Amino acid sequence: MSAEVADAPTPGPMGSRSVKLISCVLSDDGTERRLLRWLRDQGITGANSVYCRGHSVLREAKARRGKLPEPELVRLVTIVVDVDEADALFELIYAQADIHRSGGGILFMTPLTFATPFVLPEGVADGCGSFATTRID
Amino acid sequence: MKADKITYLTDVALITCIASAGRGDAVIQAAQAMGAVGALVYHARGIGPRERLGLLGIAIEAEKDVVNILVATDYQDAVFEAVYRAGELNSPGAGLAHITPIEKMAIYIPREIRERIPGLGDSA
Repeated sequence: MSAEVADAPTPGPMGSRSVKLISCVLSDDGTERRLLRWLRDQGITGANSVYCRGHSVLREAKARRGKLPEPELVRLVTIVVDVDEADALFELIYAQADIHRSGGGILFMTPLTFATPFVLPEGVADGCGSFATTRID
Repeated sequence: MKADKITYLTDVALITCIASAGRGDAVIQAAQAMGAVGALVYHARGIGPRERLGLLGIAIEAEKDVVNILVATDYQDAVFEAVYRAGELNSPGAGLAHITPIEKMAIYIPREIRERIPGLGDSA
């Protein structure tokens, strides 16, 4: 273990800090990538995105009798956020992800009892040939 | 409806069911039969009783389907029971299900549905 790693900020338990989990179900039409890019620009790095199969009865789809219709590829984006910022971020994500349009997806928020902070080390590369300019705690 | 107006939905619960791979569709069908309007499914690898059940840990299917279903809290018990039965969760190592309360939810609401909700109309 190098000295640099030992000097890096060590996140401790944040039991007293209230956090919320914002989940966003988005169609795989690029909205999710735009949202993640926007979140990164806001300095929010505690976001995850996973592929899911989405089944919706409100979407027209052909299906054989007794079988589910072909699922739609969707993305589930989850964001852990401080309780103080949760409501404002919820509204911003609603606008950024175009939830208000037909087929725009679902946005919901659940309370969490505990979360560890996600802190990036200094000077971590933000992309190919670039370095992060923002750092959050 | 303006884009900046948000209608928050409350009294919603998220039912999560972790069932054996391949049982996800049965779980969704059972939930939809009880009134659920949609579901999300993704794959996961289960770790836990696999090492202790079955022969040399190979009798319990490690591949799992994780099914997420959003339902109104009024129906959560009925849907949960249907999910439990469809997922055959009464078998050892088959999986588990849990309910998470949703604080608030936002989704596109068609105009014709908005007009049917008293007090909401088209101005909220």
